[in-house]
Amino acid sequence: MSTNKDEHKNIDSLIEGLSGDLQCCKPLNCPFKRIAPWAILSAAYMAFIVFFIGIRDDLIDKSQDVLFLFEISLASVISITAAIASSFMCSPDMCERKWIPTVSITSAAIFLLWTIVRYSVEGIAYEDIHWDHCLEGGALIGILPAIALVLLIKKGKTTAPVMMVAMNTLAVSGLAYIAMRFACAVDTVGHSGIVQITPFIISGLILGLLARKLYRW
Amino acid sequence: MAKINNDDDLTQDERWRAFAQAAQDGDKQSYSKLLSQIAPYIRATISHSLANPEWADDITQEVLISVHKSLNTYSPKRPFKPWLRALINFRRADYLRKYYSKKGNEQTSLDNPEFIKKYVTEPSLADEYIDVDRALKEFTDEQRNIFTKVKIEGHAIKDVAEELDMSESAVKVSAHRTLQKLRGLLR
Repeated sequence: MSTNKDEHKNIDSLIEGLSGDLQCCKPLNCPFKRIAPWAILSAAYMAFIVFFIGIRDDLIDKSQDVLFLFEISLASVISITAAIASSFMCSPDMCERKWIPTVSITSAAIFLLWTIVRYSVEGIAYEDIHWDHCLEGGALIGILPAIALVLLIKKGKTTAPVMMVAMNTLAVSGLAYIAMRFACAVDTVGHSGIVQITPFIISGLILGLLARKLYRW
Repeated sequence: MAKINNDDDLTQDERWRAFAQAAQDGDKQSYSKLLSQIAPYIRATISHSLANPEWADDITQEVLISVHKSLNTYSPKRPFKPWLRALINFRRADYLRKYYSKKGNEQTSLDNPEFIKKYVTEPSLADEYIDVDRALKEFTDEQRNIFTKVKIEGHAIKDVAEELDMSESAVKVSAHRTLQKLRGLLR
């Protein structure tokens, strides 16, 4: 009994301490408003890096290729919805929109399915799997938006750190994938579906293991 | 913003929402009221789902600290309780995860009076647990292992069978026979 009283006293003194420490705080903006600057700056940065690396020669022809446009659109949907989901997840209750991550997860599942379909039709084209040029480009495109996204997210408080890392990874991977498709002319499944994506998946898995530390609060 | 002074006209959620909004503006009195009012709510929400009622106060304190740290993530445009419940669930899961991962590294004996006082449901039966522990030494390693996993630790037969590479029926039979023999030994 005495222990309970002590604990209640502790709670009372904790409340007193927390109330004393209170400082004015501005509520976080609406998730869309919060993520918009990141999306715009990342898109601008991506465009700059693509120009820096060099745009693929056949981009005008490719802009009329339905399958190319489908893949770019799907990657855009994955990236944008994952970034929005990350922003919503900054609030502990996900702003009462717990279904939001499912949009990008479903889009990513469609992308995976599409890659498998392409693989079954085209084969993996082993001769086109070479890791020498797209890794640097991918790292260059991904690293700054990834750091900016993590810093933005850390202003909020997430209650789903692992899912948050998954959404961050999808947001940045989608962005880097689009940029690499504009810069690299190799469109085979082995190259665009494996070489360009695998480093982001591996980074995402590593960050996933560290998620609770990364977003601890 | 809802008027905090007319407490009676407001639902609990509206009142807490108004207190939280005032707290975001730096009103310490409203903040203190908010924390004082949500503390019993937090305790009531978690206490029924915990194996040890003493944990409720620890988790309540952690949730209160979380409310303090994450006050800026609450939007007064939304109801307060779903936001609070998300914090409660997060901190409860976090507390239990830490507790059980720490417990996994701890080894103790049933001769340890501190352990018996804290974890044995009925301390007066502690001697019987010790007798069971001693009687189990009469069995082979395999029988003891199966019995401990199935009857004491409560693992599923299927999981134990998979772990020991045995058929489910063999695990069931072994656990049952050990139990029968144990009854005989302890009679």
